[in-house]
Amino acid sequence: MIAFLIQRLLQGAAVVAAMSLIVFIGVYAIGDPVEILINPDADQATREAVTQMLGLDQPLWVQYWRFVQAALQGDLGTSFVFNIPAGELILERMPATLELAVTATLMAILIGIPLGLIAGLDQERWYAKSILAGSILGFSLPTFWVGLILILTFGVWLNWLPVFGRGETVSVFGIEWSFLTLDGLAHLVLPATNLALFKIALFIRLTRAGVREVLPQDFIRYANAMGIHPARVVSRHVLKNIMIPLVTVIGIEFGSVVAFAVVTESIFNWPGMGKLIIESINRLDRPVIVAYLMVIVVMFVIINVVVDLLYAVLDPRVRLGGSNR
Amino acid sequence: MSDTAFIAPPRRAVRLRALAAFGAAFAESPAALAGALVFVALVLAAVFAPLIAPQNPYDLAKLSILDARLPPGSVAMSGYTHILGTDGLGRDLFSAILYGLRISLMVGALSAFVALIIGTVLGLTAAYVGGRIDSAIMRLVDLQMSFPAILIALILLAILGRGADKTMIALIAVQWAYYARTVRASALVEREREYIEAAQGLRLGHVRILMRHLLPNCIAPLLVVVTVQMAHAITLEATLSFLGVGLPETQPSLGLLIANGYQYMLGGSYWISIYPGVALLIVMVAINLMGDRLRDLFNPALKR
Amino acid sequence: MSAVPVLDVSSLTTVFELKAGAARSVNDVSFSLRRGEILGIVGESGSGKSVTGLSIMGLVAPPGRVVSGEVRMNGTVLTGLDEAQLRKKRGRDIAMIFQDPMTTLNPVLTIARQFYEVLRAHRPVTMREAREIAAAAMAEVGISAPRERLDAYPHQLSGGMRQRVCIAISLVNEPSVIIADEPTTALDVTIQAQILAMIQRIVRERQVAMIFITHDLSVVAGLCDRVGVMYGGRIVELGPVDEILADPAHPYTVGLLASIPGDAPARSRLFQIPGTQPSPLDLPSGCSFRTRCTKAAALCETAPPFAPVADGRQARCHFPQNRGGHDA
Repeated sequence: MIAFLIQRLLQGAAVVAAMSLIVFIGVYAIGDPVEILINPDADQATREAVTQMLGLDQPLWVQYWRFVQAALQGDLGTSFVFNIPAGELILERMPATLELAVTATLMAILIGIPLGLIAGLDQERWYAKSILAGSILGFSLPTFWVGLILILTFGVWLNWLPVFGRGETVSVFGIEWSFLTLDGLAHLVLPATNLALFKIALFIRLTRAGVREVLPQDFIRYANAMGIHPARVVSRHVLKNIMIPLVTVIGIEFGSVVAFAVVTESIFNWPGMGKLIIESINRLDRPVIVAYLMVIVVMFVIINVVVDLLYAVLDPRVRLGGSNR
Repeated sequence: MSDTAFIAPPRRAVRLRALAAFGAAFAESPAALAGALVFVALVLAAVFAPLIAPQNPYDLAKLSILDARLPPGSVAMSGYTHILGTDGLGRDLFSAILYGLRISLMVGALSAFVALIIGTVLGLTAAYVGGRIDSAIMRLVDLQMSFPAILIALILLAILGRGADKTMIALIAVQWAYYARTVRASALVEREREYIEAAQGLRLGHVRILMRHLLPNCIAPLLVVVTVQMAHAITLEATLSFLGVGLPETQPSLGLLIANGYQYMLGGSYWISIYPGVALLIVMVAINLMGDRLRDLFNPALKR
Repeated sequence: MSAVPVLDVSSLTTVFELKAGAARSVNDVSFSLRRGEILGIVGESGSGKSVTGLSIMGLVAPPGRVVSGEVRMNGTVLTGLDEAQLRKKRGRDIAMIFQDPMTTLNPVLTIARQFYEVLRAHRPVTMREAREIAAAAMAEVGISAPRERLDAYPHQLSGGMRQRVCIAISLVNEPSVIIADEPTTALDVTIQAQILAMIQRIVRERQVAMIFITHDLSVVAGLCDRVGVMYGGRIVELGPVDEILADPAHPYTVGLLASIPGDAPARSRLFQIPGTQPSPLDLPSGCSFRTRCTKAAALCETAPPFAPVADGRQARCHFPQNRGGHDA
């Protein structure tokens, strides 16, 4: 187990290193930061001074080495726009994004999996077919457009829910949270729904496919032949078999939800790191872009390791060692 | 070695018959058939947009700011009825949607096609050559697939900047790995078959073996991936354009039309965003219905 | 062996309503079963032997349906029960053993958990009690160190051991009837023999009644007390194993016995019944075997009765083989 963990962490570190190189070359070497930093009318001397100050006259590998050294100390550069450390800026915005992503993922799990079970168990019934048809629609709806429709319907026409920002927040451990206040929760509903919709459709389809795969298996027929109640067959025998692959997907999809928060945050003006990255791309605030990407990469690597571990814990067949055959 | 070992994969007549049977099986699902018909209609509408559209929305001489933000069904100064209304600049929305559809489908199809070729070449190479080249290609595939498409596209566009060509590069970059993985998997299965060994024994050229023997067997799974990926590419482009990092203002795809309408939406001119979105939705549903059916047909586990 | 039957099946008929037509997979099947008795049901694949087992259990899934006939067990008419009542019988009064031990056990649940699920379906039991019962049940089917296996997952056990576990689970609620559907077909020959001996011992000790479904007449010969030979959804011959093997009455049974390689002289051509088994969708009128039978006559176009041919023996043939002779 320990060896497996170390191996996975090393692989993760390799991915982080590879991505940092790609991101660094991409963001710093292809463009010319000097162009953005200084007044276009500045003379050659100023230009050279700034270039030297930023170390841009050095060979690429030296620049990269400096970047890595600084990054390892938590210094990812300073935002051109806000003039504060980029890492700090990202971390400050992260809780809002995580709050949104976790809520959306929970919604997807709590709505998608039960609906998928129904769609798979009663395949021929009209409601099961409706669920499946609905999931195709959910798959086809572009997230950003659904966001607009939600704003239009619930914000403008019905005027039921707020559509901009996080609302009132409460500070816990120095971090602001929306879900702890009624106003904050109301602000959370629409963006989280928007972000969850695609994943609900995905989980419906995956759960349904899993049910269809497990139901005809002998051990389910055997459970029926032994007089086990159908509800119990579903909750113990079917669900446990489906959950193993689903956990993997949930982990990976959580990462994807964090990435897709970019869209939802932009539409609902949710002050998370997704909205920040779009603003930074539009303003060419390179240190923030790099910081965001590095934080995301690390986050993905962690998610992947956690998912692998969970998988090993859940599925006896991949349990590492311990076979007494 | 058995007699059948030297029989190559299907010949033309057999292929035609197989194609007809496949078409019949596909059409057994009314939803899939409807999806295919709608998709064909949309493609035709996009191709012939300049002929169908009542107005050239980008001919500035024809635009009048006085016609801006007319609700659906309004009659313009010129006496023309705008069935879907007009946008913020007084363009006929129906015409703008037809032109937008053209751009969206073109970007989606073209990027899917280029990604298909890159992915197929890399996938076949990985399967056929094996060894280090195989593991190098697959590492790259794994790396790409472990990050969500939108993230990779954002990174690339952050580096490259906005633009039609750059958007296409980003779309290709997020798609190729799916093709490569699919082709490699199918090719690996086929590679083990006797007739490939036989073909190698006959010293047929590598390219010939690849093209005539391995590739045809990858087509079925590839078709499924193409539909899925094209749908992905179209939404992703729309999303990126909506966020303002994709296509430039001069090439207004459906995503950009929606983004342009966003600013007027809260003011009550909802149609400018809604109708391009509906058009996008119809495209997606049509493609996904076809994709679902293809997946069912090619999944041997689901065959009755 | 007591004289009162535990299980009484009469005129059981199961039909599958398919697009291509209605398939009578089980057609007018009747037999009875006493305590401590093993009845073999033998036939080719598609003869309806497995569906017979499922029909008795009430487990035929749509488009299949038991259309007529009666299954009576210890005085209760199973075919008249609703699903909830039937569920209370399944696993407690009448249990099944499946063919493939690799797939019959749930791969993600421990052995103890699978015992627990089957136990608690029929009576209140704690996990701790379930483990005790499971350990004893596993010891009975010849698993060494049963307590250590309780927390194992199925994939950690060998195929033979898994089938022992399946049998122990099927037996754990002490059912009076067990339907075993080819329980040894998926196993190696040596393990097969061990499992068969174990099954025989348990049936005798516990005095349960067993239906043993198989395609293998040699297994029937060594294990069963009586045998029913199925062809085209019907039982064509029923009676004590020794008598039927020594002196088959139905031409199909004769052909089946002749095609066993064991008795044939080395290098001689094996006997084959001409033709193939008819599709259950399209059974010949009258005797369903007549299209392959060498003795078929005009009379065979009318359905033969399931008539007694000797004491305790029945055959469904207009021209049963000569009694006492062995010239077939």
